[in-house]
Amino acid sequence: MNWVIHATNLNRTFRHGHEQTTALCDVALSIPPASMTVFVGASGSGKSTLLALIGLLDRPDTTSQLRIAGRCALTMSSHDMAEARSELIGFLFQDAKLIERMSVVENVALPLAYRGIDRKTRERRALAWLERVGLASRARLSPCKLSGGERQRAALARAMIAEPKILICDEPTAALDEGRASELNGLLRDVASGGTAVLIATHDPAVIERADQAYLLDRGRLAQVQGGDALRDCGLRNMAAVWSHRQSAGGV
Amino acid sequence: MTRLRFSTAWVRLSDTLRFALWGLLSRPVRSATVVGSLAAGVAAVVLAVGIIRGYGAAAERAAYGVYARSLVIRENVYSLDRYGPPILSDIPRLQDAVEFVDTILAWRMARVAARSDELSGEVDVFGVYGDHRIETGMEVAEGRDLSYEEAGSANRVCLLGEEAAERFFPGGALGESLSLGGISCEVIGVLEPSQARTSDRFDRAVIAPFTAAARYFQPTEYMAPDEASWMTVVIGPGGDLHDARVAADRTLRRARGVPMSRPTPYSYDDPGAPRRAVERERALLGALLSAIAAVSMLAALIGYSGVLMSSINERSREIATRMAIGARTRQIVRQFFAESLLSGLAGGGLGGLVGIGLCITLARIWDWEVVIDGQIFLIALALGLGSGAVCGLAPAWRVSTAMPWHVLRQ
Ligand SMILES: Nc1ncnc2c1ncn2[C@@H]1O[C@H](COP(=O)(O)OP(=O)(O)O)[C@@H](O)[C@H]1O
Ligand SMILES: [Mg+2]
Repeated sequence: MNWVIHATNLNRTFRHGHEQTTALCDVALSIPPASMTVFVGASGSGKSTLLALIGLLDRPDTTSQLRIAGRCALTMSSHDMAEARSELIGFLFQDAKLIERMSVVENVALPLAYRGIDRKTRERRALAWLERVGLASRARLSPCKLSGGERQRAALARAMIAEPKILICDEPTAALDEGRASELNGLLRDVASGGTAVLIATHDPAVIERADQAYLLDRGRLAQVQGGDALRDCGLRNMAAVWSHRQSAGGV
Repeated sequence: MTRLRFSTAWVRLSDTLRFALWGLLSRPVRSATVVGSLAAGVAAVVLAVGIIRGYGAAAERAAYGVYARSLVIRENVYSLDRYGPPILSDIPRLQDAVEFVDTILAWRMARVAARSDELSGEVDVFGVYGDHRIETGMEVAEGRDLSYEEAGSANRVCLLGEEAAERFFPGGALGESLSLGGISCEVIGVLEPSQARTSDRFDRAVIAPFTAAARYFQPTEYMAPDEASWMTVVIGPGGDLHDARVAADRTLRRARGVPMSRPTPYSYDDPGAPRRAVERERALLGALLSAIAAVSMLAALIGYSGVLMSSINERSREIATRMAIGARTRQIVRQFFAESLLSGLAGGGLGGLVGIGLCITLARIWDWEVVIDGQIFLIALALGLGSGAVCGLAPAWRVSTAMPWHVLRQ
């Protein structure tokens, strides 16, 4: 199998003086391309930490092994990591993180600027993506004029404009109502079908319904979700119900 | 291939500039603070430089160049023994005895009655032996100068200073004849106005050949025809004024038979002394102003770099976001560096303009002498640009080398 992400023995320990927090412990994980993977778990269980490592925004402990699109993350310099982020990875954060003083279309086009693409081309491609996420009419506005759902869709367009192999979403729907969330989930599903490995950390049962695979993080330890019981044991009752329903309907 | 490389370089440059400009313009208050604090320091420097250079120009005019290195020999009026003034035949003696002598001029001055068709009145007549320009610094504006032969002759010709010419011949002096002490004398030239304070007495005077002056225009029972009111001994490069003075005194004592035990029969003035005093004063003022300007610039730089640094810290979330969506460290460094260069350039330009404005105001209100030109503006720009480069690099580098996640998760 040709994994986009392949991790074994992945660890991340934070040190504050003499105190140590083990945010991730012996994580093993393999993600195929064109898939939608969901990470669930209580707050503080390490979801964001894991996504930051996979997204090359942070470095794992030196004993870990992590390969992104075949490249070893541990031996990368900061510059290599930036290079790989630019080429391989898109991000969608809970709070969109649009740059407020730029228009929506400039925000979406920004990743292409860092790849040395000229202004006309990147604007054209940004407008095409805004069209796809249904924001063509909002292109010239400042991001602060957008609603929460629109901001997330703009952020999705920005994450996808450079056609990354991996899309990392950290609680993308946490601040959205049900309708907006389901809109965004539909778009994420499309992205996964388009060939990108989509990784989502979420508390949203609706996401898990559409996922190809689900992982449960419990105090830094990762386990693949097989049946609903593991979810229920972690207090994720709604998710357990969705998962069980999905399995009985013949999913996965 | 070449074309492609050129166009990516262009995209990179234009994007760097665009982002830098965006960074400045999207935070107008902050940018105004940055630019303003730098401009204040640059303005102080420009003001100091303008004043120091103005002072220099004033010192330049305090004495004509030749006086910086000459001895003026006169009769010592405090001596009880009378030996009379220096005489023309002392010139070859001094030339032999004093080292590094460039040239020696002899002057004879008297106030005489003058009369033209228009006006009669008194005028100073300077009889000169040698090239008067060495001492006056004044060229002939109209007509011709005294020739070398004329200067040693008794020809009845003269040059008029600008004011004297205007006074006696309002309709034009050239070729007219001026009666000096009852003897008529042809005006062969009119001098340009004096440049130095020490030669403005020639503006109102007549300059004539030494012998003609002594024999015709200013005959007096007190002075023999070969006696000079003063002699100017110009010392060339390498010569020492003190040594020259000792040698000249020894020579003249020997010629007059005055032993060293008697007071010297002549006085030896150093007309460069006041100028040197002005220059000392200028150096002092210059040091003081430089120190004040340096302190102001330092204060401005501290403020400037502080605001620059805190603005970059404040934008660390934006920087981390940019890093997450694909910016390389050097792209971020380049953007923030370009931003500080731009703000430095703006600060330098604004400071230059304000400083020049202050100089002009000073010159108007207090009648101070200042020198301002394009060069001073270039200095201001360079100062601003340099400050931008120095203060911008460190924070840009620091902020872009941290791992983005630590900033993003807050
Ligand atoms: N930069 C950090 N410094 C110290 N501790 C951290 C840091 N990032 C995460 N942690 C700790 O790691 C654990 C996992 O955090 P996180 O990955 O944010 O959890 P989740 O996203 O699942 O809520 C938490 O205990 C958190 O306090
Ligand atoms: Mg989290």
